[in-house]
Amino acid sequence: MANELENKKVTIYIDDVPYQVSPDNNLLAGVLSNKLNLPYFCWHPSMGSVGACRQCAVTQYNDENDTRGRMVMSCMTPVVDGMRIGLEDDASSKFREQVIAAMMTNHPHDCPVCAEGGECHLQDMTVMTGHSARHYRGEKRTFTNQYLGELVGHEMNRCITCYRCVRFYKDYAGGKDFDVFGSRNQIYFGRQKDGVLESQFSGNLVEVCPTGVFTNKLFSAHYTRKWDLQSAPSVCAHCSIGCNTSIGERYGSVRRVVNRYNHDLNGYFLCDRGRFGIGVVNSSNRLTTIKGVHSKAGEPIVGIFNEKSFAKAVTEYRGEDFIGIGSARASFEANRLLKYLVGKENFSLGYNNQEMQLSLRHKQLLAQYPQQSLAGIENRVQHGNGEKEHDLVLVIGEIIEQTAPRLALTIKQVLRNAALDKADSIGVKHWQDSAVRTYAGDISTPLFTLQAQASDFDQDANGALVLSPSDIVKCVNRLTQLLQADFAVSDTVVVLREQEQSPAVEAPTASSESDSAASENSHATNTNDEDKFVLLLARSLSQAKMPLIITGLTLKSPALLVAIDQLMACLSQKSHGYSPELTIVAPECNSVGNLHFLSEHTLSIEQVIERCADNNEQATSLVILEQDLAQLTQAQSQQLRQHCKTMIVLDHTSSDLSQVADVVLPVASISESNGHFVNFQGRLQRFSSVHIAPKPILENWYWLNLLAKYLFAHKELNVTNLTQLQSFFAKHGEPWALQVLTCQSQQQEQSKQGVARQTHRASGRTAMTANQSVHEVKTYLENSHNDALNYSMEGANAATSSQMPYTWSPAWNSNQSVFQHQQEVNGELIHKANENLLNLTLSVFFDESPQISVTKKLEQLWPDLSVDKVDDLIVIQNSPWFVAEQQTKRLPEFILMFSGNTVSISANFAKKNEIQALDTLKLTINEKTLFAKVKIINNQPDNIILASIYELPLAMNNFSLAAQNISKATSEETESFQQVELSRKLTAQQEKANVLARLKKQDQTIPITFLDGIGGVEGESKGDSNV
Amino acid sequence: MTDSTFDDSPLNAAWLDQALTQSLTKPLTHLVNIDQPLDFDGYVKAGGYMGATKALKEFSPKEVLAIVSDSGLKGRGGAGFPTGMKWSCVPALQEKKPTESSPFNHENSYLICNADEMEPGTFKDRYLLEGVPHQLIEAMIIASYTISANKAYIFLRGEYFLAAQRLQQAIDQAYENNWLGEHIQGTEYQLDLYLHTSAGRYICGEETALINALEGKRANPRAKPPFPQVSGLFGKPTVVNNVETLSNLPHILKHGSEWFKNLSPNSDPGTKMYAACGQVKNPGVWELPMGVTIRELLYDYAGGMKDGVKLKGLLPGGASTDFLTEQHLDTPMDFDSIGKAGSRLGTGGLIVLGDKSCPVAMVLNLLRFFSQESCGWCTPCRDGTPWAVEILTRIEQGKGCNEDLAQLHELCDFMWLGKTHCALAPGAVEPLKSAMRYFEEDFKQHIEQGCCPYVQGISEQKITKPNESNKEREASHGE
Repeated sequence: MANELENKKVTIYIDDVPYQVSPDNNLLAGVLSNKLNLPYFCWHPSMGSVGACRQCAVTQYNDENDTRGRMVMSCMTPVVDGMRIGLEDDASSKFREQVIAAMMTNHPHDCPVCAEGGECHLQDMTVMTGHSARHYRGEKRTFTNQYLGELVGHEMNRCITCYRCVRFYKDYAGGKDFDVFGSRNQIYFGRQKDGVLESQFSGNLVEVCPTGVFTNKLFSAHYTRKWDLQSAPSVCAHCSIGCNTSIGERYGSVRRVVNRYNHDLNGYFLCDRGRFGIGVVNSSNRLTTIKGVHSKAGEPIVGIFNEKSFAKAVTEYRGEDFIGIGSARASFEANRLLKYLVGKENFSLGYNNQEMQLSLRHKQLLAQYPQQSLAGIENRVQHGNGEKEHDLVLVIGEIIEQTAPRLALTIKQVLRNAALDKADSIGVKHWQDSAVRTYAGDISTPLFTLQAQASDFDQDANGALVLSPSDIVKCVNRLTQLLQADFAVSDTVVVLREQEQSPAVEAPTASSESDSAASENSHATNTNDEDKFVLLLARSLSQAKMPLIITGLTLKSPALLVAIDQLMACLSQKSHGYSPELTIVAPECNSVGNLHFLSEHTLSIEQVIERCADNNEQATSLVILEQDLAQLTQAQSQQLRQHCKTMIVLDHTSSDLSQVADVVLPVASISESNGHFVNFQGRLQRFSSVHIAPKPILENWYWLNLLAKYLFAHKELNVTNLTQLQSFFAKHGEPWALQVLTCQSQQQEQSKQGVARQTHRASGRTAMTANQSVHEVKTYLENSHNDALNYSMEGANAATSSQMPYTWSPAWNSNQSVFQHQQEVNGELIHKANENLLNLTLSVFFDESPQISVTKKLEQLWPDLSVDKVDDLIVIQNSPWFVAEQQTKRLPEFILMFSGNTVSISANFAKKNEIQALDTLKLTINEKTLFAKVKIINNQPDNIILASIYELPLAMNNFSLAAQNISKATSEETESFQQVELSRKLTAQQEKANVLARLKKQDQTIPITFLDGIGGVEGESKGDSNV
Repeated sequence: MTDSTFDDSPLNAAWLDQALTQSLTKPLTHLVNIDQPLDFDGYVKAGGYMGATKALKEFSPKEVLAIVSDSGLKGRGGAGFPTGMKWSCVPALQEKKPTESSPFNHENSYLICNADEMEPGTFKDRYLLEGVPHQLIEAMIIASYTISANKAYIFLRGEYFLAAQRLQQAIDQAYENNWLGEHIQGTEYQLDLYLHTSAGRYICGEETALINALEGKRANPRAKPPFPQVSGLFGKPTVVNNVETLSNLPHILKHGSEWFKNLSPNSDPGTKMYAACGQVKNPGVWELPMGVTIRELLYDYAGGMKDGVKLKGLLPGGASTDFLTEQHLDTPMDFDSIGKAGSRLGTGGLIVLGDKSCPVAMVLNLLRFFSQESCGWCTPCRDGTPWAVEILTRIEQGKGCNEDLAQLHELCDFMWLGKTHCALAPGAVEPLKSAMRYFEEDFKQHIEQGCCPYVQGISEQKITKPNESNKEREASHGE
């Protein structure tokens, strides 16, 4: 592979020195790929060139005798074999300095108070060009800033007009509420008027902006310079994509998340849930003390963990029969350990019967259809135009902009494949961003959506159909039948043509006017729409070469996954050269990891309850690992609590379960713990702690380790760090552990002394605790976790490891420095982490048995007893992205963005029940009374209710609701509902202020003990002395 | 305007006879009637649409291209790029074998007439647009036919209200008489012509910014390549030609390329619309053989300098050209000669500066215009032109220093060709740079004396001759 790449390169001469450069990218990318310093602003490795800022000018010479040359913008110049350019010649050096000087005529000198300072691309470029003295004597231009919501700050005076923000927000991410206004030197980037940015990718503006126009408001509120942050490589825990993040911390509190480049997944961009959602680790609802096993009287004290007294207390529960309930948001290791402790017959993943069936179907699909990475989906290959790119996208039953926003951003790029193809036809290179957009216009790769609710993608879709979940399954089956018949004849579309009634079949769109008009006979219209949709889709699918089908588990419909399986099987039969691909969005960050533990022995929640309630057996107790079990009915929850003897809950944040548990063990959050998550593809990804939580908060695996020691003493396990735990399973021959260990030992090869989490410029090492003690804190080379990262500024440079805590390179202080660590611009990292894909073998009963018996077997094992009554309504979750994930929906900023509970109902349903828009409805769901305002939507099946209700757990979806459980609220109820809505916001406002005040106070009073080795081995060995 | 009113007027008949005598020497303007332009019938009676008839009925598009290329016609918008060469880049004209059955079955292309005449001191196109609108329509039919465009647009300066009215009338008449629409004059050719009035930005005169504006986007110039001939309006092949350039076409078709070449005594063929404004006795616009000298234009046609005013310098082709002075008076006004003299022919409109007016103030005025009209896309133009304005303002106010002159030279270098996204900033540099060369003393005096040495002269003028200075101001803003 490497040789192949080398062969494709050509030689160019930069200041008479030969360099190898790829001819598929522009000259600027070529220069940067050789790690040379050439300043730039408007070019972005992922967004291409437009030639606006003129910063990357170089001199191009005709041949070696040409001494004058001519100036060219390297970002706009294609690479030609043998070309000669100068970076250091006087003309281009002077011009680049002049460009900075011109930008500085308006840029304020406010670096000391600017949040970008210290990681500002403009600062770096200014220094790089040597511009140091100001000659402009006039006044600077000033602007009025806008309120852009709770997440992104706006300081337009700093703008240097590189146009990157609007190119990202509008062109790349498809946002519609942000633009460029004005002209000459009064160019303004913002919204038409003040207001919350609508895009779920707005946070990327902070990183895309080369200076401090757009800033992370949450970070600014509790600010630290980049060089003072302690950082660690982490993995986002807020959807199944597994974007790589870098968490920054100081004084024991997490400050922010920034993108951590991963070529295969997130590239340069994160979604806002991943970027801002981290704030929940600082929540006031964090569990900070042990409940239930404190033998000493009095209030438990934060900062202390006494292992002996814990051991003494917990041994009381020894000898009870324990069932372990794992979780899709806990690390792979923790789940594995829990399963080991309780044994496979006593292990549950917290899924009910329906979810067990769903998970097995999920596993079956994953085993059959390898999942591409985002780079694969996007065809973000290192060189030129790959021969494989998706030419059709079909999204079925998953609103990816809510459940996996980063995937939605990738799909937006896939939709540009058609435009890039067209640009190829006249030789316009893909990096010539404006030229491609000019030439190809808004031409888009065919897109079809088949959903239970309207999606953001519908307006760009060639066909968009909204059906109830059960009708979606029927529709997919129809599609499969149609295609089967078609493929049986030949590879042409003979059958489809016969079926077509008219030559021009027009697909229905979500905003179809006809629907609203024909309210009386809407059923007929829908059927007709569906016919058209299925025909057009079938035809398009058989004409495409590499269709991409995206689905997910959000609708909780095993039947849908079966239907998709059949569709994929049918498509896969098609002739050679036709390669359909499937992407399945998993519900949570480690859902796919948990599939690994699924077997026919795994207990569903119903079975757990049964076991607890079974009087014949000895009393059964539960160890519940980071679980909400929010999908349980009220009755099930009560049964579970009543029948289990001891309930031990491990979690980081207070929940309904932690409140009723006998024992609560406070667990480290994502920022404080180590382990692996398995993303939607099955990729095992390491996340590392950025700091150590104050005791008695311990990492989940460490708590389990202690339980093993004192509660499950019969289990031979004596580990003191995560690596030992992994080795333990490696010794048992578990391939994942071997993979992980190989990867880690590779990393240690890369940087033997361990990588410093702090920058080499970190300040305050001796001063930050001087209010407590004048003695310098001992440098804490913490290798107990063996993760090759030190809680120190001492150690190897961040860039020497595949697990870069932060991105930095000499002269490149901003995140733009990442190119210095890539093999070439947009390429893999030089120190690339091993791609550890979890091998998901099919469960034994999938192997030989035909489809029907699998279904039977599943029904036998985990019978899905939920029966939908015909006239019941179906409730579908429809929360906006910022409250569409159970953990991050608690973030005060996200709550403030939430406009209030709504339910969307069809016009017919509204008419029949005499409901008006903006009425308040009362819904009784799971014995809870919920209220929401009414929205009326035209093209929605009459039996579907789209719920965006804050109090409704996201784990409940696609469930039936009897008609009597929905009614209009009385005026008193409406009033109290409005009070609840208001107080939710006020509480969030208060929480936001409280958290900030607490953290700022903590900055002032950080105790020495807090720094002095807590958690892991240290915690164990020093446990006693700390009391 | 109806036929009867036209025919009933003996004045018009006499006028037409008189006009036609100049049809071979002043092809562009001989039919111009500003008070009452020829309507369709009148234009046909005067020999109009003969060129288009010939093109459509006698020649293939490639043959028309050959004739136009052979004529040596160069673009009259300012850059002087050979028209034939521009057209030949359109993919339709590059196909080796045009399908006989249907020559128009390839991807649609567009013709755009650039009538966004915003160059300060330039008003030649307005004269043609208001005076003989059908000539442009005929020309656009020929050009569209040649590049196989079925849709054409006139992008008209928004302030040209009268021209807009007259063009729309002419377009309607052309539709009525089957010169636009389907099956033009019984041929297979089809053309729709639309008039678009600009919202008013100087940058819209840049062809790719014009295209963006026409698409409803921000009027920023596009990066080239790809050129509009390949990827222009809505990504389709597009040719943008100036009004004057296009207006030559009917006559080249009618009288042949040899005739066209013989119109001019030198290597640049054809006639040219020349104009003069500023401190001359008789500002105006004239069609003259290409290559008339500056002296002839200034003294024979524009009536020489105003009384009591001596020539200080002049811009030969609109605001974005370099100053020339006394020593250049015998330079022929053609592309090559003016280029050799250190300036550009540009639009061929002289802006004349007298010795009683301050050159610094004039350059400041121009730079203000250019910085105001910058689209804001590239750094040198967006931030460089206001910087120059800031310095010039101080110098003009007597607050300048010697370092300012060095900084101005730096800025001229900074905004020069090859460094900017389009030609606007280099166009702004041209008068500034040349003024600093020819009028260096004036700049220095401003700094040394701490005030504008002309200030008294100007105030005198304002007090004594308010009417005249008003006229001047009007002239420099486009007649």
